[in-house]
Amino acid sequence: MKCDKCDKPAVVHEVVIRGGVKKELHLCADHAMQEGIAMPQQQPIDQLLTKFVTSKSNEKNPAEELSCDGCGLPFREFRKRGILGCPDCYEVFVEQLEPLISRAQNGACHHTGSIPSQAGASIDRQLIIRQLADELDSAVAAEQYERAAELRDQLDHLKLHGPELED
Amino acid sequence: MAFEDLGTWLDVGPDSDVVVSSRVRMARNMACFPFVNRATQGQCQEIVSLTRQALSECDLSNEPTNEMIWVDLDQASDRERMLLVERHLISRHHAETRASKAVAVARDESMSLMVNEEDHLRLQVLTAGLQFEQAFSRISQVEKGLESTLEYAFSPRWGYLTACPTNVGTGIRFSVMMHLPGLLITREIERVKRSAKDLHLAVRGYYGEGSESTGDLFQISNQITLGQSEDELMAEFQQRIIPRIVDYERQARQMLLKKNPLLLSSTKISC
Ligand SMILES: [Zn+2]
Ligand SMILES: [Zn+2]
Repeated sequence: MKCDKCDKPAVVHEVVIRGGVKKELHLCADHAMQEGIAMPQQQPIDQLLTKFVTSKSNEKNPAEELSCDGCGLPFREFRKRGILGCPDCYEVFVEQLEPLISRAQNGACHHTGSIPSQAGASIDRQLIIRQLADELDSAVAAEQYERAAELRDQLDHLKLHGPELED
Repeated sequence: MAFEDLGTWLDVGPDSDVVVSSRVRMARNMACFPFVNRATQGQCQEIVSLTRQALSECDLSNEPTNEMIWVDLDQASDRERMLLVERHLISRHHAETRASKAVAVARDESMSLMVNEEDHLRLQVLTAGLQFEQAFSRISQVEKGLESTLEYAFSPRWGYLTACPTNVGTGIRFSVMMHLPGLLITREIERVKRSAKDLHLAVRGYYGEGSESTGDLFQISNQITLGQSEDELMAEFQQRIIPRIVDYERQARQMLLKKNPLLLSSTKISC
């Protein structure tokens, strides 16, 4: 059966009674979420996330105006979908994410598992890569194509041969 | 992590009277790109080709089949994509969205690497019965192999960064598919579901392809990914939590067998 609002398959089937009139609802995952209907197979933590996300929406919150400088994701958007846009989001939205993550993780708020083998050296490289990427964007915007090609080569090299930077 | 020599792929694994299969899933993202939902089409393409190159340089010698088959999903036919979904090698979501996507599949279909699903990389390994060590070491080998070329998004505080903040930390989920007809018939399943919540487990009824009703298959997965090491999480799940449910189920089957042997044969329960 198709979703009432689009062509995707309906996964949520509900009977709602509004003003004494019985109405059947058949919705896909996305539209069910928009209507605020919980999915039958949804995991508790997803529900927790949705609840957290929607309960905050009624408050006047300065986080409302925040957006990530790394990827441009507005916090509003995260609240709607529960998905972050880039690694930087974890820093920009840290105050909003802390209580959410700790609640979902039984109070834990620090990683104690394995770490990448190049964790130390990588932080600098990440910075350089971001700077280069910014430069590349402005070079393209300014139609400096030779410069852009140069930057792209540098970026590709860094992304592929990252570890070499250390020696 | 030491590799455990479990020999060839087993169709019948430990505790397979109750545990159908075990699955380890690992999420990773590359440090230099936005997550998939904010990435441009060009970036998605770049992620696909970087992953393909990294995988080709990966040492897969400990893999049972030594190789993985690469499928560019934007070039695959609808039929091929459907087939991958039906075999649980890619998610429905992965098959449907239009961005540049790929999957690498081990020849015996026990491992897959989805590229540009919710996270840049989603590795999963499936084994028969209740056994996680082997699955986890296979996943780790590929993850480490890719890491010699790719750089993962990581923060010292939050661990491996994932698009959905509830996966952050290890980025790993352990799950089992359990056959629980005894607990379903005796209605003890509700009690298991309630205690699962306190243990931070997700329990969901598994719906077979196209079937409307809940069967007696349940997927149970851990929800904790932060504050404990991979080994601790795996041990807790495999040695404490799941064996308890296995015991409940066996007790329920024994009880049913005493009460009504016919019921058992009709629902294909074995003790
Ligand atoms: Zn829809
Ligand atoms: Zn961001």
